[in-house]
Amino acid sequence: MIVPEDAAKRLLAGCGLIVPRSQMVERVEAAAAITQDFGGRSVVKALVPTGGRGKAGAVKVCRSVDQARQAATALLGKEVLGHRVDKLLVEELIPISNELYAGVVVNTATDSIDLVLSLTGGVEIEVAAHSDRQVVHQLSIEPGDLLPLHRVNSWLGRHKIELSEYPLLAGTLLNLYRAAADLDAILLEINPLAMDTDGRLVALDAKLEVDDNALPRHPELNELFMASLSSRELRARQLGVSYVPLDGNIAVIASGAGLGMATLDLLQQRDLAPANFLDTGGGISEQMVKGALELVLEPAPVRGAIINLYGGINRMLEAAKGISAALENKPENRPIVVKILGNQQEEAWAMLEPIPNVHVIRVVQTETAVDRLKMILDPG
Amino acid sequence: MLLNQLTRAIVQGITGKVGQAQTYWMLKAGTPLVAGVTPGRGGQSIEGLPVYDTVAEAVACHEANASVIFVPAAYARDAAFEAIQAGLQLIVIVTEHIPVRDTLEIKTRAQLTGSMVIGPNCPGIFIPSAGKLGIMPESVFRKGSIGVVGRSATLSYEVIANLSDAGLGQSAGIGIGGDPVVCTEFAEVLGMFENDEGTAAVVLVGEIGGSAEERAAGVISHMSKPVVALIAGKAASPGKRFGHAGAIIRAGGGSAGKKIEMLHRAGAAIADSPSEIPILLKERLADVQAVL
Repeated sequence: MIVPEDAAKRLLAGCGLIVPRSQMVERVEAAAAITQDFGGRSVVKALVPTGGRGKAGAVKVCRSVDQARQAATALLGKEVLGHRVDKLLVEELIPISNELYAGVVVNTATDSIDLVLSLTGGVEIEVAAHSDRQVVHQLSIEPGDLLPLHRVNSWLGRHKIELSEYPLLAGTLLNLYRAAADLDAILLEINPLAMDTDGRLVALDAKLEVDDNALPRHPELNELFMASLSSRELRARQLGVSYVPLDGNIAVIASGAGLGMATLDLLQQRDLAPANFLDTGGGISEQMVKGALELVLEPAPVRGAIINLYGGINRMLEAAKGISAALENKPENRPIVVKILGNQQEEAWAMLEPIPNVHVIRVVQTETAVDRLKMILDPG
Repeated sequence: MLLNQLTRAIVQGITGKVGQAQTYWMLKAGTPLVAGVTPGRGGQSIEGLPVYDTVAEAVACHEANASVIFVPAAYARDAAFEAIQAGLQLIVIVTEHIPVRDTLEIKTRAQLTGSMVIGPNCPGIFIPSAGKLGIMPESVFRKGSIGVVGRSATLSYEVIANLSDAGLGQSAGIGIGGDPVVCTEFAEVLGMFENDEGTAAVVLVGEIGGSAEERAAGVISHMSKPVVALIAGKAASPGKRFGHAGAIIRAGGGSAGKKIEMLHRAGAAIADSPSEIPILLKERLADVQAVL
């Protein structure tokens, strides 16, 4: 999950990093009032879960209460990088002398945890990273390593990083690395990490992505996570499935991500576009499949559905009962092509074949199922 | 190939619902299982196998040398550490939803000791007539000489079913797992198939995300045996996550197009769909025959 900036900063403050004072607001007047509290200066930021806000004009430096009011008016309700702005983060304006970039990333290409530092922080870091590798320094740490301070020090020394507050930087990087470990972060990025005029290193921004698989050991994040889900995603989660909304008009259910992606590929080869993709994973039950089918058929553009299940462990009669129950509740006139194979396949086919608009495919080739759907929807 | 007459495997998490059910199927497939382990349940018996509290006890009593892990994600890292610590040579982790940092720690530790860990989030290995460690369904397999290695479980089953349907049996099915980090990668399994006398050709079932297929290409270019590859996710849009944590295209790599190009350049035949795989394999095998 991507942790919203205000929550990420609260968590980082708890790990010994310095963050600006801030307040989340939803109204223009509240932004003005907080700016007044901060001495008439503030930074007003759109609270949306994405990078590149600075460039998109969604971070506004305000040097008066009036400017804060204007900034809040301009941002609230607006669309920023695909996200509607409902909340703003108003922060104290920190006078800075230097901007750095610091991050910790789980590097799945090298199987290491990488600490990344650049002395050129700010909005242009991505550009700099691609054009000139010299400015980005990387320390690869073996998974499970606690990372001793002396290693950070010698790394900084090796790169001849000249910064007067050298020990301060080493300590901050260590805190950052340990915060990422404690929070099970896949990515923790501070850009900019600013040296203020009082000689402190302050995290002016924070991008934190926590491993979804680690959420069970972070109960403190549970409420935030639930709030980040759409109502369909929430229902999918309650069913124990994963749901991905897409732009087309064919509903897709598959038992497994790979089988699902292969199904999407075959749809695309036949000019059919998926409206969504639901992965049942293991543990198929009647209730799950019933809920899953109701969920994928819900979006208005859906013209038809394909259900592609393989029952290695799962009893496929359960799946057939689920499909049958969903359609008994709410009969469909849209075609539903079902390919079910494996454990109890014959019983499943026998149950599904009499249902109107359900088309059962009895072969192992998914193409056959996709071709059937294509023939029904776009004959000729 | 991985399972043989010397294998003596244990089931970690044998008393759980999935562990118990899968133990039944593994025994039915002829797998040489000798014991189970669940902390606190020592002394019980599941499917006729004795249950121990620790892996060390199972090793002491049965000279176990392999394990298949079904314990819940929250305890999976510890279970894997315990198996590595006990010196088991082959460890299959079926458990899904293990945090990536835990997997990295397991992988790092296994590399230090030389244990081979397959998974996590994988269906495991199936060797026709030798048995299976994991959850692959016996019904799709036929004994033969095609080695199949895949990331996605159910897509691999579909591929194997298509092969069996076309009269091409398998020497082994190996599911390496769908997570962004897996402990044994395509490259290593391809090497095993290349050296395996019972394998004549290899099918690689890959998908978008990560860079394992790219590394596999490096091995394929040096292989004598034909390789046919299928990459799922050509229709997937960047940044969307399709169930598998690994199946996500991040900026800068992992796209289906890039993987297909590298595998093709390395000499693999590229299938557009599972049913095309047997056709391409038969062509390639005929070419090999013609040379011999």
